[in-house]
Amino acid sequence: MESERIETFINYLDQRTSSIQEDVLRLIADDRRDEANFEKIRANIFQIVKTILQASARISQEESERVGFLETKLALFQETWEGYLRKAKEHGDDLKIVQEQTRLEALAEIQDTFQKTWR
Amino acid sequence: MTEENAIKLFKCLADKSRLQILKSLAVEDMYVERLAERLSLTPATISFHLRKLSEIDAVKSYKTQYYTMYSLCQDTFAVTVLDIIKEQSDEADLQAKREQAYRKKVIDAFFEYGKLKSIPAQRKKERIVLEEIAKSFEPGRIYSEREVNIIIADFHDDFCTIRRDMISERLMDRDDRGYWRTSR
Repeated sequence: MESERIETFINYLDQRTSSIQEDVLRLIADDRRDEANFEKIRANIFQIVKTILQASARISQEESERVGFLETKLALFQETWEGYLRKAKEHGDDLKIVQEQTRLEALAEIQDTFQKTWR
Repeated sequence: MTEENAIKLFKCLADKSRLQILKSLAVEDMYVERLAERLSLTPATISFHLRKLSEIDAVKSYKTQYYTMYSLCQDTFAVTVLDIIKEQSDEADLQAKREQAYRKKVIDAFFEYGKLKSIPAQRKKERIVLEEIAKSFEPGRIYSEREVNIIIADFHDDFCTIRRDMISERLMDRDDRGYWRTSR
């Protein structure tokens, strides 16, 4: 049985995933396939975070420990993707720049909701 | 424009955002942030699309004091679709080579030391074989039926069938004067 806050957070991640997936379909229908692919990347981040949060139950049943585990992972993602973005900018890799920015935007949104939920 | 480039061009243009960017640039030269604002996209997304467009020579950039400006490559769009279609296809050369290789395979399979081993059952293969035999007839010269039979008999005993098939395939023609090789 998940705690109420974890359940709420997972619901939030699910809602955002399905809402972005709708955007993906809309963009494809609008012949904007590349932008649809960027949105798929965004949706994927929400799914990854959900998986991490669910997997944290194997580490501990304590909400505080699970949340701490997730927070560490989110910080690690941020550091890694900021590094990738920096490199992409150095090399003028426009595709990678959009991809990393999209990941970081999704992550910032998740971190914001995370802060509002637990901190 | 090569066929490969034409495909890249069409693929790149099959995107609404990129078409919108081109439409904006058709009005006037613009920089990334202005396009982003106009099309409600992030500057990074606009840069990504502009990169793709410049790869197919649809847009070009130049620096001003403050901005990198983008403009439409008029020359690329001056080419009509009809020009692209009419252009000699790389694929046509490949097709010709494949056809040549197939002909050689059929000839090697049905001829042995200049003699026809058997008359192919498949029409396409028979046509190739008949074309090969037809090369023995001088263009423009009229042959009697006897002469035709002798020439064909050098290839195969059933000269009657081959002679008739060459007529029906229009590789040879005939009238009261005799037989002659057509230009087919």
